[in-house]
Amino acid sequence: MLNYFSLLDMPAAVDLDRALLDLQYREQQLRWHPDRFAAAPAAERQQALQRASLLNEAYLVLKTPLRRAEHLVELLGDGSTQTVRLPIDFLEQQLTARESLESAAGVRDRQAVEALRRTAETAASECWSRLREQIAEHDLRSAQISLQELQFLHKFVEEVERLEERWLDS
Amino acid sequence: MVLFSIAEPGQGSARQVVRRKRAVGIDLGTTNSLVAVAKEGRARVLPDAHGNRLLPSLVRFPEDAVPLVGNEALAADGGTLVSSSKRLLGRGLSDINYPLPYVLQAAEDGGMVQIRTEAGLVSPVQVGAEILKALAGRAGDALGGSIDGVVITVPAYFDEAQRQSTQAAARIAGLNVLRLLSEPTAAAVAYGLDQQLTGTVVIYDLGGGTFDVSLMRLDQGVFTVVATGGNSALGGDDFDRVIADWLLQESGQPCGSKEDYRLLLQQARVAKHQLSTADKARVQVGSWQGSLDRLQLERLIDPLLDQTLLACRRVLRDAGLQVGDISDVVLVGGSTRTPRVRERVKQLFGREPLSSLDPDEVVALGAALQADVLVGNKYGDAALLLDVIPLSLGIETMGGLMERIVPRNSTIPVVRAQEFTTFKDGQTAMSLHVYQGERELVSDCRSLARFDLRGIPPMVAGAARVRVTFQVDADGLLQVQAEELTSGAKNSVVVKPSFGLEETQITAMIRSSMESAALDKAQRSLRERRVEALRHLEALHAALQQDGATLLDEDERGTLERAMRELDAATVGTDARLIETLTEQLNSLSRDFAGRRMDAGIRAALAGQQIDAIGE
Repeated sequence: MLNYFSLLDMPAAVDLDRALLDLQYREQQLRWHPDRFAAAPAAERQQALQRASLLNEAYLVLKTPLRRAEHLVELLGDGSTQTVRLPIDFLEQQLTARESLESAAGVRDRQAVEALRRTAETAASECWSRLREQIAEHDLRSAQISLQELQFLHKFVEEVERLEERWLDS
Repeated sequence: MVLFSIAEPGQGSARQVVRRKRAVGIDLGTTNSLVAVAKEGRARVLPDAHGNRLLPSLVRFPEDAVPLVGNEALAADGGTLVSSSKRLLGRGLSDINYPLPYVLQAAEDGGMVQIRTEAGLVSPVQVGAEILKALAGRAGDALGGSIDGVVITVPAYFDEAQRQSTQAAARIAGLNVLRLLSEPTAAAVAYGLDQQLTGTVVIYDLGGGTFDVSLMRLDQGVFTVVATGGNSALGGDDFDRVIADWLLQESGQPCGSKEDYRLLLQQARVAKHQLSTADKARVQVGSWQGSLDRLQLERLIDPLLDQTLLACRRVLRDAGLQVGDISDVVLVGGSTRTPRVRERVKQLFGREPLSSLDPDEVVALGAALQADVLVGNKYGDAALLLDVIPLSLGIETMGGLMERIVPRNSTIPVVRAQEFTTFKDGQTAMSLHVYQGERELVSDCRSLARFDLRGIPPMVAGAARVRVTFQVDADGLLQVQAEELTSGAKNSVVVKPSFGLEETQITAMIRSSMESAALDKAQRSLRERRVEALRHLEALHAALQQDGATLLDEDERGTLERAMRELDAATVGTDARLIETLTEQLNSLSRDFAGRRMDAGIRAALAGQQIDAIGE
């Protein structure tokens, strides 16, 4: 499978130097952007289009922490897609949090919503620490679980943000 | 995963430039259009022979004659005058919910709306092509040769169908499009290269018919669009409309015809322009006289400006930025000359907006700078423009839901693939419907195209794997392909937007455009023959009056007069060949008469000399 880290000449890791990433992306785009090939033959233009599209995709994945981690875990598992089972207590916590969010949203309890957001963010940050260790130890199975938990928490925070945005709009 | 073919680095387009190529930037505007050229990083607008920099985006379609463009269209009479056609590009009849001074008609296939003119049904694409032809002609005259390539600007908010239509117009006009560039990006290029602007910049672009707001990061020659928003049906024309409606309401006068409304809009526009400098403008409707002051104008246009400011806030939020993160605000578009616009923008961003480059010209200037680079005329460190798509692209799934494949504000070019499966056992075909928009239900999004993927081998429901690939190129144009993976059978389809044009339609328009060029030539030749014939007739008529009685006998005179009547009759018609033949015939018939007149003239002159000599 395609390795976005090597495509952009970046070390494959959970954390990366954003300034370096921007620089690498920029240099590659300066070379491959279709505008550089506007007067070139169709075949070269097509190649530039594909390469530039790929660079954009790689850049998007690498600059978004969660997607970067997903890609890293994918590379670790060499593209294999096993389904992992999440711990039951995590799922129960998530269900409770969601119910609390719904009732807080119903009565427009901003403070309660903020508290739920903070809890989710703390859980996410603990999850990130675990993931870093698991990847360092090449513990694919545990890394996959942490990643899925992160995805849950991330979705939850997104929902909170959408809710707050709706309040902002009205 | 999509498979990409990757070339060896360095095997790019290193080629020698022999001749400096002629490339121009074209701002194809709703109200006015411009063409500009750049050399070594400096751009200038090309005026027409009379020194006009703006070309009014007007085309007049007379019956049986070539269309007239710009001021010529404005000055002429007869035929149908088409204005603001940019707003009709890639749109269906049901999209047009505002009055226009001409009549629209739904296309037979339910596609793009058509305009009824005295020259027959005309597509908005053809109107755009006429304007582009006029601008390319202007550029060719100024630069001394044909144009190698053009960059045409489009509003950032233009969707797929609108972009495709713009490109089709360029093809019909016979132009080589190097790139469709979004207007705010072009403006940023002009400010970034010309004025060395850097940082996070808001481009507020209020044109005649469209509003765009874009957030851009300008950094060492790389211009990145961070987020974009706006309204593709809101602009200065709407100011005119609310003023016109207010005039009707105030005056209590009825508005009878389309022509009445057109005049009313014209008056509204004049008053609006006057209020940019004056406090009050006099207005008149029929017998009613009154005045419009700035306060009233503000009251009328503020609701429209509110919409633009709301879009600005939304774009900030999309980018996760605060007002304080903005380093500059750039004003683009003629409508930003209205002082109230400036005032409201300043209020929102808390800083004086920039307008050091002419807001009417800045887009064309930026397009010209980019055109010069794209055509291969390299100078120093060229800018790199990283644009985004304004609206999400997706596909309809069961239950009429929109499945987003490429989200809005994705940097282009972009490729995304997603897999779908069959719903029923033994299903051998799949109907794919492509949409653009942000809503959850496809009924709230804009339909771009639909096509069927056939030849799927019969399997149980859910076993087929159909991979749908969306490719958006640097112009923001979309290609969709679908293929079934398990059978290895590849069926791919390239999509044209529902409100775009079929390839056959475009070809037909190119042909008719070439015919109209031929017609143009024929018309010029007819005009020349007519003038020549009339000049001849007039001279002969005068000669007959003078010498007909003395130098010709009855028969000779009769023959000549018959030939004259024949030619005279022919000049009223449109047969250039007949006029030419009859002119030649008359020429030979009158040669003898002309000879005799010359002889007589010489004799008379000699006679005069003799008399003079006697007098000495």
